[in-house]
Amino acid sequence: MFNLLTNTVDTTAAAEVVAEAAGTVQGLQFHTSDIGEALLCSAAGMVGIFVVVGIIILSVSLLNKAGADKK
Amino acid sequence: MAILSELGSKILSIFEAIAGMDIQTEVIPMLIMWAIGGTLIYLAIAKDMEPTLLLPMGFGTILVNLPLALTEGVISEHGAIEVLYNAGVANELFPLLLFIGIGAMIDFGPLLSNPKLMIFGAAAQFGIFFTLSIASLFFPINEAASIAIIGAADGPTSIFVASELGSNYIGAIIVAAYSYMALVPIVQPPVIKLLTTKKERKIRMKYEGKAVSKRTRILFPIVVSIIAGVVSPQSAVLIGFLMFGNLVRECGVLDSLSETAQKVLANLITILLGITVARNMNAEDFLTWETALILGLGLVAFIFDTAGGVLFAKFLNIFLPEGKKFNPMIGAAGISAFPMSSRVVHKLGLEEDNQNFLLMHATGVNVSGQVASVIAGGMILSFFGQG
Repeated sequence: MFNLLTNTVDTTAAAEVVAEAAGTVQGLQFHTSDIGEALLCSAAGMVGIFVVVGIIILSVSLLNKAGADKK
Repeated sequence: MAILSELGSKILSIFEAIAGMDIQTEVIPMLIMWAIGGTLIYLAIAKDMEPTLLLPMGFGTILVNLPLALTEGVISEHGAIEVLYNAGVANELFPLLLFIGIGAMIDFGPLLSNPKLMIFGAAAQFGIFFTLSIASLFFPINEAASIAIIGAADGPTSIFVASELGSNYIGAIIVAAYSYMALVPIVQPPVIKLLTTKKERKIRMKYEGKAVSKRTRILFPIVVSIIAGVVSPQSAVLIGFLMFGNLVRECGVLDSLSETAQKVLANLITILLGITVARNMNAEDFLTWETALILGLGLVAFIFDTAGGVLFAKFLNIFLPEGKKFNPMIGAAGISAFPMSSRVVHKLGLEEDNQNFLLMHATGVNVSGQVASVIAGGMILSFFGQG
Protein backbone atom coordinates (compact mmCIF):
# COMPACT_ATOMS: atom_id res chain seq x y z
CA MET A 1 0.00 0.00 0.00
CA PHE A 2 1.30 3.47 -0.80
CA ASN A 3 2.11 5.52 2.26
CA LEU A 4 1.47 9.23 1.61
CA LEU A 5 3.64 10.36 4.51
CA THR A 6 6.78 8.46 3.59
CA ASN A 7 6.24 8.13 -0.17
CA THR A 8 6.96 4.41 0.11
CA VAL A 9 5.07 1.28 -0.74
CA ASP A 10 4.20 -0.80 2.29
CA THR A 11 4.39 -4.33 0.94
CA THR A 12 3.53 -5.87 4.30
CA ALA A 13 0.25 -4.02 4.49
CA ALA A 14 -0.49 -4.90 0.86
CA ALA A 15 0.21 -8.55 1.58
CA GLU A 16 -2.11 -8.39 4.61
CA VAL A 17 -4.89 -6.96 2.46
CA VAL A 18 -4.45 -9.75 -0.11
CA ALA A 19 -4.37 -12.38 2.62
CA GLU A 20 -7.44 -10.90 4.30
CA ALA A 21 -9.32 -10.86 1.01
CA ALA A 22 -8.39 -14.49 0.39
CA GLY A 23 -9.68 -15.53 3.80
CA THR A 24 -12.85 -13.48 3.70
CA VAL A 25 -16.23 -15.12 3.33
CA GLN A 26 -19.17 -12.73 3.40
CA GLY A 27 -17.55 -10.49 6.01
CA LEU A 28 -15.93 -13.27 8.01
CA GLN A 29 -12.17 -13.20 8.11
CA PHE A 30 -10.00 -16.16 8.91
CA HIS A 31 -6.89 -14.95 10.68
CA THR A 32 -4.32 -16.42 13.01
CA SER A 33 -3.01 -13.22 14.54
CA ASP A 34 -4.86 -13.68 17.85
CA ILE A 35 -4.51 -17.43 18.29
CA GLY A 36 -1.34 -17.16 20.39
CA GLU A 37 -2.96 -14.78 22.85
CA ALA A 38 -6.15 -16.85 22.88
CA LEU A 39 -4.29 -20.08 23.67
CA LEU A 40 -2.30 -18.38 26.40
CA CYS A 41 -5.42 -16.89 27.98
CA SER A 42 -7.19 -20.24 27.69
CA ALA A 43 -4.40 -22.01 29.54
CA ALA A 44 -4.21 -19.27 32.16
CA GLY A 45 -8.01 -19.25 32.50
CA MET A 46 -8.26 -22.99 33.15
CA VAL A 47 -5.40 -22.84 35.66
CA GLY A 48 -7.05 -19.82 37.30
CA ILE A 49 -10.40 -21.57 37.66
CA PHE A 50 -8.81 -24.65 39.19
CA VAL A 51 -6.87 -22.45 41.64
CA VAL A 52 -9.98 -20.50 42.73
CA VAL A 53 -12.09 -23.66 42.94
CA GLY A 54 -9.29 -25.42 44.84
CA ILE A 55 -9.25 -22.62 47.42
CA ILE A 56 -13.05 -22.78 47.72
CA ILE A 57 -12.95 -26.58 48.20
CA LEU A 58 -10.34 -26.16 50.91
CA SER A 59 -12.38 -23.45 52.62
CA VAL A 60 -15.60 -25.49 52.51
CA SER A 61 -13.76 -28.52 53.89
CA LEU A 62 -12.47 -26.39 56.76
CA LEU A 63 -15.95 -24.96 57.36
CA ASN A 64 -17.40 -28.47 57.43
CA LYS A 65 -14.68 -29.64 59.77
CA ALA A 66 -15.25 -26.67 62.07
CA GLY A 67 -18.99 -27.38 61.99
CA ALA A 68 -18.40 -31.04 62.83
CA ASP A 69 -16.01 -30.16 65.67
CA LYS A 70 -18.63 -27.88 67.13
CA LYS A 71 -21.07 -30.79 67.30
CA MET B 1 -57.46 21.46 12.96
CA ALA B 2 -53.79 22.19 12.50
CA ILE B 3 -52.97 19.30 14.82
CA LEU B 4 -55.13 16.93 12.78
CA SER B 5 -53.51 18.10 9.60
CA GLU B 6 -50.04 17.57 11.08
CA LEU B 7 -51.02 14.11 12.30
CA GLY B 8 -52.42 13.26 8.88
CA SER B 9 -49.24 14.29 7.11
CA LYS B 10 -47.17 12.37 9.65
CA ILE B 11 -49.19 9.18 9.05
CA LEU B 12 -48.94 9.75 5.32
CA SER B 13 -45.17 10.07 5.51
CA ILE B 14 -44.97 6.82 7.48
CA PHE B 15 -47.03 5.00 4.84
CA GLU B 16 -44.84 6.50 2.14
CA ALA B 17 -41.72 5.29 3.95
CA ILE B 18 -43.19 1.76 4.33
CA ALA B 19 -44.26 1.72 0.69
CA GLY B 20 -40.76 2.81 -0.28
CA MET B 21 -39.09 -0.12 1.51
CA ASP B 22 -36.77 -2.14 -0.68
CA ILE B 23 -38.04 -5.69 -0.97
CA GLN B 24 -34.69 -7.43 -1.07
CA THR B 25 -32.79 -5.47 1.56
CA GLU B 26 -35.60 -4.45 3.89
CA VAL B 27 -38.85 -6.38 3.49
CA ILE B 28 -37.43 -9.93 3.16
CA PRO B 29 -35.01 -9.55 6.12
CA MET B 30 -37.89 -8.12 8.16
CA LEU B 31 -40.08 -11.11 7.32
CA ILE B 32 -37.25 -13.53 8.14
CA MET B 33 -36.83 -11.88 11.56
CA TRP B 34 -40.57 -12.15 12.17
CA ALA B 35 -40.26 -15.85 11.36
CA ILE B 36 -37.33 -16.17 13.78
CA GLY B 37 -39.32 -14.35 16.46
CA GLY B 38 -42.27 -16.63 15.76
CA THR B 39 -40.03 -19.69 15.98
CA LEU B 40 -38.71 -18.59 19.38
CA ILE B 41 -42.28 -18.10 20.62
CA TYR B 42 -43.25 -21.51 19.19
CA LEU B 43 -40.29 -23.25 20.86
CA ALA B 44 -41.15 -21.55 24.15
CA ILE B 45 -44.83 -22.47 24.10
CA ALA B 46 -44.99 -25.75 22.20
CA LYS B 47 -41.66 -27.28 23.20
CA ASP B 48 -41.29 -25.65 26.64
CA MET B 49 -37.74 -24.58 25.76
CA GLU B 50 -36.58 -21.89 28.22
CA PRO B 51 -40.01 -20.22 27.85
CA THR B 52 -39.31 -17.52 30.43
CA LEU B 53 -36.71 -16.00 28.16
CA LEU B 54 -37.40 -17.26 24.66
CA LEU B 55 -41.00 -16.05 24.66
CA PRO B 56 -40.28 -12.40 25.59
CA MET B 57 -37.26 -12.50 23.29
CA GLY B 58 -39.30 -13.86 20.38
CA PHE B 59 -41.93 -11.20 20.85
CA GLY B 60 -39.26 -8.54 21.20
CA THR B 61 -37.68 -9.77 17.96
CA ILE B 62 -40.93 -9.11 16.13
CA LEU B 63 -41.30 -5.70 17.81
CA VAL B 64 -37.84 -4.44 16.90
CA ASN B 65 -38.29 -5.58 13.30
CA LEU B 66 -41.51 -3.72 12.66
CA PRO B 67 -41.27 -1.21 9.82
CA LEU B 68 -39.51 1.96 10.91
CA ALA B 69 -38.70 0.52 14.35
CA LEU B 70 -35.30 2.11 14.15
CA THR B 71 -36.45 5.62 13.35
CA GLU B 72 -39.95 5.91 14.75
CA GLY B 73 -40.57 2.90 16.95
CA VAL B 74 -39.42 0.85 19.90
CA ILE B 75 -35.68 1.04 19.25
CA SER B 76 -35.48 4.65 18.16
CA GLU B 77 -33.41 6.87 20.44
CA HIS B 78 -36.22 7.38 22.95
CA GLY B 79 -38.11 4.17 22.16
CA ALA B 80 -39.21 1.98 25.06
CA ILE B 81 -36.85 -0.91 24.34
CA GLU B 82 -33.89 1.40 23.81
CA VAL B 83 -34.61 3.09 27.15
CA LEU B 84 -34.89 -0.30 28.90
CA TYR B 85 -31.72 -1.51 27.17
CA ASN B 86 -29.73 1.46 28.39
CA ALA B 87 -31.25 1.18 31.86
CA GLY B 88 -30.66 -2.52 32.39
CA VAL B 89 -28.51 -4.31 29.83
CA ALA B 90 -25.93 -1.78 28.65
CA ASN B 91 -24.96 -1.12 32.28
CA GLU B 92 -25.32 -4.85 33.20
CA LEU B 93 -27.89 -4.13 35.93
CA PHE B 94 -30.51 -6.70 34.86
CA PRO B 95 -28.17 -9.73 34.80
CA LEU B 96 -26.83 -8.77 38.21
CA LEU B 97 -30.31 -8.40 39.72
CA LEU B 98 -31.24 -11.72 38.15
CA PHE B 99 -28.24 -13.25 39.88
CA ILE B 100 -29.70 -12.29 43.27
CA GLY B 101 -32.80 -14.29 42.37
CA ILE B 102 -30.77 -17.24 41.09
CA GLY B 103 -28.61 -17.21 44.22
CA ALA B 104 -31.76 -17.29 46.34
CA MET B 105 -33.03 -20.30 44.37
CA ILE B 106 -29.90 -22.45 44.62
CA ASP B 107 -29.45 -24.96 47.40
CA PHE B 108 -25.70 -25.48 47.72
CA GLY B 109 -26.30 -28.34 50.19
CA PRO B 110 -25.24 -31.19 47.84
CA LEU B 111 -22.04 -29.28 47.05
CA LEU B 112 -21.29 -28.42 50.67
CA SER B 113 -21.75 -32.00 51.80
CA ASN B 114 -19.23 -33.20 49.21
CA PRO B 115 -17.05 -30.21 48.25
CA LYS B 116 -14.54 -32.19 46.20
CA LEU B 117 -17.20 -32.53 43.50
CA MET B 118 -16.62 -28.88 42.76
CA ILE B 119 -13.49 -29.79 40.82
CA PHE B 120 -15.74 -31.07 38.02
CA GLY B 121 -17.41 -27.68 37.84
CA ALA B 122 -13.99 -26.24 37.06
CA ALA B 123 -13.14 -28.91 34.47
CA ALA B 124 -16.43 -28.42 32.64
CA GLN B 125 -15.53 -24.82 31.81
CA PHE B 126 -13.04 -26.17 29.28
CA GLY B 127 -15.48 -25.51 26.45
CA ILE B 128 -15.31 -21.75 27.13
CA PHE B 129 -11.58 -21.59 26.62
CA PHE B 130 -11.50 -24.07 23.75
CA THR B 131 -14.12 -21.96 21.98
CA LEU B 132 -12.15 -18.81 22.72
CA SER B 133 -9.23 -20.26 20.76
CA ILE B 134 -11.40 -21.35 17.83
CA ALA B 135 -13.40 -18.11 17.75
CA SER B 136 -10.21 -16.05 17.74
CA LEU B 137 -9.54 -17.44 14.24
CA PHE B 138 -12.60 -15.61 12.90
CA PHE B 139 -13.31 -12.72 15.23
CA PRO B 140 -11.31 -10.01 17.02
CA ILE B 141 -10.12 -11.35 20.37
CA ASN B 142 -12.66 -9.38 22.45
CA GLU B 143 -15.54 -10.66 20.33
CA ALA B 144 -14.09 -14.17 20.52
CA ALA B 145 -14.11 -13.91 24.32
CA SER B 146 -17.73 -12.70 24.30
CA ILE B 147 -18.72 -15.63 22.09
CA ALA B 148 -16.75 -18.14 24.15
CA ILE B 149 -18.75 -17.24 27.26
CA ILE B 150 -21.76 -18.98 25.68
CA GLY B 151 -20.01 -22.04 27.12
CA ALA B 152 -20.75 -20.74 30.61
CA ALA B 153 -24.24 -22.15 29.92
CA ASP B 154 -25.54 -19.34 32.04
CA GLY B 155 -27.64 -16.54 30.54
CA PRO B 156 -26.90 -13.71 32.98
CA THR B 157 -23.15 -14.42 32.85
CA SER B 158 -23.22 -14.40 29.05
CA ILE B 159 -25.15 -11.13 28.97
CA PHE B 160 -22.93 -9.52 31.61
CA VAL B 161 -19.63 -10.51 29.99
CA ALA B 162 -20.73 -9.74 26.42
CA SER B 163 -22.04 -6.32 27.50
CA GLU B 164 -18.93 -5.56 29.52
CA LEU B 165 -16.74 -6.45 26.54
CA GLY B 166 -18.86 -4.26 24.26
CA SER B 167 -19.78 -7.10 21.92
CA ASN B 168 -21.56 -6.29 18.66
CA TYR B 169 -23.09 -9.78 18.63
CA ILE B 170 -24.91 -9.77 21.94
CA GLY B 171 -28.24 -10.80 20.36
CA ALA B 172 -26.75 -13.87 18.70
CA ILE B 173 -24.78 -14.74 21.83
CA ILE B 174 -27.86 -14.67 24.03
CA VAL B 175 -29.97 -16.65 21.57
CA ALA B 176 -27.20 -19.27 21.36
CA ALA B 177 -26.71 -19.40 25.15
CA TYR B 178 -30.37 -19.89 25.99
CA SER B 179 -31.10 -22.17 23.04
CA TYR B 180 -28.32 -24.59 23.91
CA MET B 181 -29.25 -24.49 27.59
CA ALA B 182 -32.69 -25.63 26.54
CA LEU B 183 -31.11 -28.24 24.26
CA VAL B 184 -28.88 -29.75 26.98
CA PRO B 185 -30.97 -32.98 27.02
CA ILE B 186 -30.25 -33.34 23.30
CA VAL B 187 -26.66 -32.08 23.14
CA GLN B 188 -25.11 -33.84 26.14
CA PRO B 189 -26.15 -37.53 25.90
CA PRO B 190 -24.38 -38.32 22.60
CA VAL B 191 -21.18 -36.63 23.80
CA ILE B 192 -21.30 -38.50 27.12
CA LYS B 193 -21.95 -41.83 25.41
CA LEU B 194 -19.20 -41.23 22.90
CA LEU B 195 -16.62 -40.61 25.63
CA THR B 196 -17.61 -43.32 28.11
CA THR B 197 -17.88 -47.09 28.01
CA LYS B 198 -20.95 -48.97 29.18
CA LYS B 199 -18.93 -50.21 32.15
CA GLU B 200 -18.00 -46.66 33.14
CA ARG B 201 -21.60 -45.50 32.88
CA LYS B 202 -22.58 -48.26 35.28
CA ILE B 203 -20.18 -47.17 38.03
CA ARG B 204 -22.14 -46.67 41.21
CA MET B 205 -21.21 -43.94 43.63
CA LYS B 206 -22.03 -44.16 47.29
CA TYR B 207 -23.92 -41.12 48.53
CA GLU B 208 -23.06 -40.06 52.03
CA GLY B 209 -25.67 -37.46 52.76
CA LYS B 210 -23.65 -35.60 55.35
CA ALA B 211 -25.58 -32.97 57.22
CA VAL B 212 -24.37 -29.44 56.57
CA SER B 213 -24.41 -27.09 59.52
CA LYS B 214 -26.33 -23.84 59.28
CA ARG B 215 -23.13 -21.97 60.05
CA THR B 216 -21.45 -23.52 57.00
CA ARG B 217 -24.42 -22.62 54.82
CA ILE B 218 -24.28 -19.00 56.01
CA LEU B 219 -20.50 -18.66 55.80
CA PHE B 220 -20.24 -20.31 52.35
CA PRO B 221 -21.57 -17.36 50.31
CA ILE B 222 -19.49 -14.90 52.31
CA VAL B 223 -16.29 -16.93 52.02
CA VAL B 224 -16.76 -17.59 48.29
CA SER B 225 -17.37 -13.89 47.62
CA ILE B 226 -14.19 -12.96 49.49
CA ILE B 227 -12.10 -15.63 47.74
CA ALA B 228 -13.41 -14.70 44.29
CA GLY B 229 -12.95 -11.00 45.04
CA VAL B 230 -9.35 -11.46 46.16
CA VAL B 231 -8.19 -14.03 43.60
CA SER B 232 -10.26 -12.91 40.62
CA PRO B 233 -11.46 -9.33 41.28
CA GLN B 234 -13.31 -9.12 37.95
CA SER B 235 -15.65 -11.91 39.05
CA ALA B 236 -16.38 -10.25 42.40
CA VAL B 237 -19.51 -8.44 41.25
CA LEU B 238 -20.98 -11.52 39.54
CA ILE B 239 -20.16 -13.91 42.37
CA GLY B 240 -21.08 -11.25 44.92
CA PHE B 241 -24.65 -10.80 43.67
CA LEU B 242 -25.13 -14.57 43.27
CA MET B 243 -23.85 -15.20 46.78
CA PHE B 244 -25.82 -12.30 48.25
CA GLY B 245 -28.99 -13.97 46.98
CA ASN B 246 -27.85 -17.23 48.53
CA LEU B 247 -27.07 -15.56 51.85
CA VAL B 248 -30.58 -14.07 51.91
CA ARG B 249 -31.87 -17.62 51.39
CA GLU B 250 -29.71 -19.31 54.00
CA CYS B 251 -29.63 -16.72 56.77
CA GLY B 252 -33.00 -17.86 58.06
CA VAL B 253 -34.24 -14.42 59.06
CA LEU B 254 -35.13 -13.06 55.62
CA ASP B 255 -37.60 -15.64 54.37
CA SER B 256 -39.85 -12.98 52.91
CA LEU B 257 -36.97 -11.34 51.00
CA SER B 258 -35.73 -14.73 49.88
CA GLU B 259 -39.14 -15.61 48.50
CA THR B 260 -39.38 -12.22 46.78
CA ALA B 261 -35.93 -12.63 45.23
CA GLN B 262 -36.71 -16.16 44.02
CA LYS B 263 -40.07 -15.32 42.54
CA VAL B 264 -40.98 -11.66 42.09
CA LEU B 265 -37.52 -10.22 41.44
CA ALA B 266 -36.36 -13.07 39.19
CA ASN B 267 -39.61 -13.07 37.21
CA LEU B 268 -39.73 -9.31 36.83
CA ILE B 269 -36.15 -9.07 35.62
CA THR B 270 -36.60 -12.05 33.31
CA ILE B 271 -39.58 -10.41 31.62
CA LEU B 272 -37.70 -7.14 31.11
CA LEU B 273 -34.45 -8.86 30.16
CA GLY B 274 -36.05 -11.07 27.55
CA ILE B 275 -37.80 -8.32 25.69
CA THR B 276 -34.90 -5.90 26.09
CA VAL B 277 -32.11 -8.10 24.74
CA ALA B 278 -34.21 -8.44 21.59
CA ARG B 279 -33.04 -4.90 20.84
CA ASN B 280 -30.00 -6.51 19.23
CA MET B 281 -32.14 -8.81 17.12
CA ASN B 282 -32.81 -6.38 14.29
CA ALA B 283 -32.37 -7.84 10.84
CA GLU B 284 -29.34 -5.76 9.91
CA ASP B 285 -27.31 -7.01 12.88
CA PHE B 286 -28.68 -10.52 13.14
CA LEU B 287 -28.96 -11.87 9.59
CA THR B 288 -25.25 -12.27 9.01
CA TRP B 289 -22.78 -15.10 8.53
CA GLU B 290 -21.30 -14.11 11.86
CA THR B 291 -24.55 -15.08 13.60
CA ALA B 292 -24.49 -18.50 11.95
CA LEU B 293 -20.89 -18.97 13.03
CA ILE B 294 -21.69 -17.84 16.59
CA LEU B 295 -24.50 -20.40 16.80
CA GLY B 296 -22.03 -23.06 15.63
CA LEU B 297 -19.39 -21.94 18.12
CA GLY B 298 -21.97 -22.04 20.91
CA LEU B 299 -22.57 -25.69 20.13
CA VAL B 300 -18.81 -26.31 20.15
CA ALA B 301 -18.63 -24.66 23.58
CA PHE B 302 -21.36 -26.89 25.04
CA ILE B 303 -19.86 -30.05 23.52
CA PHE B 304 -16.39 -29.32 24.85
CA ASP B 305 -17.74 -28.29 28.27
CA THR B 306 -19.35 -31.70 28.49
CA ALA B 307 -16.25 -33.43 27.17
CA GLY B 308 -14.02 -31.51 29.61
CA GLY B 309 -16.01 -32.67 32.63
CA VAL B 310 -16.31 -36.29 31.50
CA LEU B 311 -12.65 -36.64 30.47
CA PHE B 312 -11.46 -35.05 33.71
CA ALA B 313 -13.44 -37.60 35.72
CA LYS B 314 -11.93 -40.40 33.61
CA PHE B 315 -8.49 -38.92 34.24
CA LEU B 316 -9.05 -38.88 38.02
CA ASN B 317 -10.31 -42.47 37.89
CA ILE B 318 -6.87 -43.59 36.69
CA PHE B 319 -5.52 -42.79 40.15
CA LEU B 320 -8.49 -43.99 42.20
CA PRO B 321 -8.98 -47.54 43.52
CA GLU B 322 -12.04 -49.64 42.64
CA GLY B 323 -15.00 -48.64 44.75
CA LYS B 324 -13.80 -45.03 44.95
CA LYS B 325 -14.02 -44.25 41.24
CA PHE B 326 -16.30 -41.52 39.93
CA ASN B 327 -18.97 -42.25 37.40
CA PRO B 328 -17.49 -40.07 34.63
CA MET B 329 -20.93 -38.97 33.53
CA ILE B 330 -21.21 -36.69 36.57
CA GLY B 331 -18.41 -34.58 35.09
CA ALA B 332 -20.82 -33.55 32.34
CA ALA B 333 -23.08 -31.96 34.96
CA GLY B 334 -20.33 -29.41 35.61
CA ILE B 335 -21.84 -27.10 33.03
CA SER B 336 -23.98 -24.49 34.63
CA ALA B 337 -27.29 -25.41 32.98
CA PHE B 338 -29.15 -26.13 36.21
CA PRO B 339 -30.96 -28.44 36.82
CA MET B 340 -31.23 -29.90 33.30
CA SER B 341 -27.70 -31.20 33.18
CA SER B 342 -27.91 -33.12 36.47
CA ARG B 343 -31.21 -34.63 35.36
CA VAL B 344 -29.65 -35.74 32.06
CA VAL B 345 -26.81 -37.49 33.90
CA HIS B 346 -29.21 -39.10 36.37
CA LYS B 347 -31.39 -40.36 33.53
CA LEU B 348 -28.43 -41.78 31.61
CA GLY B 349 -27.29 -43.56 34.78
CA LEU B 350 -30.72 -45.15 35.21
CA GLU B 351 -30.75 -46.22 31.55
CA GLU B 352 -27.63 -48.32 32.15
CA ASP B 353 -28.55 -49.57 35.61
CA ASN B 354 -31.98 -48.91 37.06
CA GLN B 355 -30.56 -48.94 40.59
CA ASN B 356 -27.82 -46.39 39.93
CA PHE B 357 -28.96 -43.09 41.42
CA LEU B 358 -26.57 -40.32 40.45
CA LEU B 359 -28.89 -37.36 41.02
CA MET B 360 -27.38 -36.05 44.25
CA HIS B 361 -23.81 -36.31 42.97
CA ALA B 362 -24.78 -34.73 39.67
CA THR B 363 -26.67 -31.96 41.46
CA GLY B 364 -23.59 -31.18 43.57
CA VAL B 365 -21.49 -30.96 40.41
CA ASN B 366 -24.20 -28.93 38.66
CA VAL B 367 -24.38 -26.21 41.33
CA SER B 368 -20.60 -26.09 41.45
CA GLY B 369 -20.74 -25.51 37.71
CA GLN B 370 -22.89 -22.47 38.43
CA VAL B 371 -20.16 -21.02 40.64
CA ALA B 372 -17.32 -22.08 38.33
CA SER B 373 -18.99 -20.59 35.25
CA VAL B 374 -19.24 -17.24 37.00
CA ILE B 375 -15.58 -17.47 37.97
CA ALA B 376 -14.79 -18.29 34.33
CA GLY B 377 -16.71 -15.17 33.30
CA GLY B 378 -14.58 -13.19 35.73
CA MET B 379 -11.43 -14.72 34.25
CA ILE B 380 -12.52 -13.72 30.75
CA LEU B 381 -13.19 -10.18 31.97
CA SER B 382 -9.84 -9.98 33.75
CA PHE B 383 -8.09 -10.92 30.49
CA PHE B 384 -10.10 -8.87 28.04
CA GLY B 385 -12.08 -6.31 30.03
CA GLN B 386 -11.17 -2.66 29.87
CA GLY B 387 -10.51 -2.53 33.58
